[in-house]
Amino acid sequence: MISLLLASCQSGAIDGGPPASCGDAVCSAEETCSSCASDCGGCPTGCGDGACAANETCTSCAADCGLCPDLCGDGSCDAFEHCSTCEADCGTCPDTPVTVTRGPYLQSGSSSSVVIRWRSDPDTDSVVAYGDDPSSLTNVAKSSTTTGEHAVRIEGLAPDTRYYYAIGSSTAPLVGANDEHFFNTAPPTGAARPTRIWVLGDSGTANDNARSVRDAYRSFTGSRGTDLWMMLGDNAYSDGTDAEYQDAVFDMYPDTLRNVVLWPTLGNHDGHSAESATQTGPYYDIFTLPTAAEAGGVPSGTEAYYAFDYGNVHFVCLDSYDSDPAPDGPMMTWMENDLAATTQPWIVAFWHHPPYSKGSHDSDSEGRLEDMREFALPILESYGVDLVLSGHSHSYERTMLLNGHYGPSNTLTDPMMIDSGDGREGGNGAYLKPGSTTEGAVYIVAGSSGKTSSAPLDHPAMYISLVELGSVVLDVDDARLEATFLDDAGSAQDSFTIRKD
Amino acid sequence: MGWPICVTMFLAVLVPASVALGHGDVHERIAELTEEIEQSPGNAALYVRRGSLYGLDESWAQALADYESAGRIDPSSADIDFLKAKVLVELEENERAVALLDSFLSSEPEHADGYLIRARAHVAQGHIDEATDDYARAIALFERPAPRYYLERARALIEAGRVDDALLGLREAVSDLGPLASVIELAVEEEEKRGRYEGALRWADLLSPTLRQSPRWRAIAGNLADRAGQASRAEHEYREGLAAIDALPPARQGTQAMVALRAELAGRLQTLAPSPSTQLASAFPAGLVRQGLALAILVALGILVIRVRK
Repeated sequence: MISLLLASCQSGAIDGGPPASCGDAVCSAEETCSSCASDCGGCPTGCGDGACAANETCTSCAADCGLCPDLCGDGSCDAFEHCSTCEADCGTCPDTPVTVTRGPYLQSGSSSSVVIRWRSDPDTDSVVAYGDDPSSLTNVAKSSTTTGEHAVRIEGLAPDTRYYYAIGSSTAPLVGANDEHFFNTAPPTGAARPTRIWVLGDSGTANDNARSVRDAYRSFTGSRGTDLWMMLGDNAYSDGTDAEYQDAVFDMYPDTLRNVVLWPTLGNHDGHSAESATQTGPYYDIFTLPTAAEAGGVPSGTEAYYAFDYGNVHFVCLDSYDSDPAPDGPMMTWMENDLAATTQPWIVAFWHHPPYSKGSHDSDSEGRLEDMREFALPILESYGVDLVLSGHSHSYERTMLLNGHYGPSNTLTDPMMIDSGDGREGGNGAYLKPGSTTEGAVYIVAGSSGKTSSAPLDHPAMYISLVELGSVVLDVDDARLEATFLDDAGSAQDSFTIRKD
Repeated sequence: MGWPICVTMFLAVLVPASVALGHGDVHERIAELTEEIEQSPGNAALYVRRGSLYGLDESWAQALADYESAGRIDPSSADIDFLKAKVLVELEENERAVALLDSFLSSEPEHADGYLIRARAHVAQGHIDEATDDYARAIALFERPAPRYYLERARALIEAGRVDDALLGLREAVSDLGPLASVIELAVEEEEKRGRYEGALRWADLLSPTLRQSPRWRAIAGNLADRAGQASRAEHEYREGLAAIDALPPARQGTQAMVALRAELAGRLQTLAPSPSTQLASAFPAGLVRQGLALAILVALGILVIRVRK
């Protein structure tokens, strides 16, 4: 396009007729061969004369007009050719411009692949161009299916690498090809890398609460960036509809969505409009989650529950709302096999309904909370889970280092509290889980990223309970995991460390 | 004015495991709807919404009453029959449920959930053939059937004593969904119960390499091989299982599950009938065996040289 514009300038074509001085036998500054042949002489013609004439193009005369971008005229509408720059290959531009109405957002990232999703209006085919330089996206992944809901899986990526990308269709690049559109692939599985994880729970209010929590985290993390982020359910109030997801997720976190892979779990409000058994409804339509161990772990066969690896951390996501939690049911059977097969030093599990809470929900009297505690925890703890994250109660509640507490709150005994200290290196000391001692996990309720609800907050397993808006930041670095509860003003209201060295 | 009934039906019918709720607690929402119903007693959608809330609360009798009220107001709605049938299954009134679903499915022959609910009603009545047909239709109609449907059908068939049919269904699950642990574990369990250890091992071998080579499945495969009378294969599996545990990082080796598995594998190895190679290995440390063999070869060569010279 640029070369075409330059060519038209060089030809000296000027609208509005010849200059007034034309005919005085002097070829003055404002006169050219094309505007005043009588003073300046006729313009040279023919390819190779150094001027890209009106009847010449980059395809017919590259010598005068320059090379066509992306080989315009080769019969193939390549990644960055489109109707406005190469009608010869891409056809006439449609009257209605294509716009991106959602995203782009990143899903199911691994050390070698990622899924890039977006929504367009109208429907088009899907093209993603990517590469290590935003000005030269040399690789292309595409899907010829015409759709408004685009999902392009890119494979064969190098681990631990930043890729820039642009999305669009075969007729128009839409957004990207700049330093704001990038993703980082995960490190090789098992490799210890400093990893920052942002955890939001019950964030789906789409209001100033959610915005303040978001902004507090942005200020906190600054240029450090985020390696992955998680939503612990109730991601879009009140019913998890597509419109509610637009407000509460896509319009709320556009920057993070386009740069960092999001890993969600189903909350009860998301479940109002989605069904796990059939993987239908907005939640399942919006998210592309691994079913066949695309990002590590063991295949689950469903997006309702899944596993993935990032560096030296193994993540397990369960569906506490709409999948059978029975110990011999498919979800728990899968989880046990997944945990039995992982070789990762760290295990972090997450789901919506907390096994321990005296927040706006009571784990002593609510079935789903009790089921998860009684059925999931024995399996997880036997395989050495380190951290369990959930939401549902609109508060922050964090346990001591626990093991073997599967009954109601009044059955908690001293031996179940592996370490009843604060877990702070500047306080009672970090929670220790060296290889010789693998027992103990910390359980966090982090359901205050969109709203708070007053509650008793008196579960005896908790080291700290707060009715504060906020989110959780996890930093994993080799044998050390540090968790921070960051309130909506950016203050760290709680922190603890687990060490395995 | 309540929600249009079509919206209510969308949320209540397409999302059978869940209910369209506002922010409030179920009981609060029921109370709100009760007030709305008092204001608009002729609004079927309100009854459907409240019925769905009662369903979430597992108050099945009240849910049924609301759906019946909705059905009286809007007798032409087939969707209400479906909702009633679901509740009837919960109330174990399976015959009535099947009758309603027969009628519903004749007008909605592509309704996967309808077949699924009718399959469950058939199972409850012991009509396994009818149930199997309905499960098959449901699975075929669901765009992305979950593992749970295949497992539910298999368990119903196993309960009815038709284990081979159950296993065929599990093969279909593997074909449709891949070699899922939950599916294969049930198949292995059933083959093992019937003493078909070779068959069980073949199922185990379908697992992804990551899982098949995990210590847990090495132990399972070792036990199956042992029972199949394949002592050397069992020994191999147990040894590989122990090696897999040794290869884990310390954080994984020391878990309760791995400690128990290590003890099991070591115990099984000890109780195995020793194979000739095991006997040799246990009689002599490996280094000594190698040195002995080298010495024997040297002696043999020496004798050969002496004979040739003679």
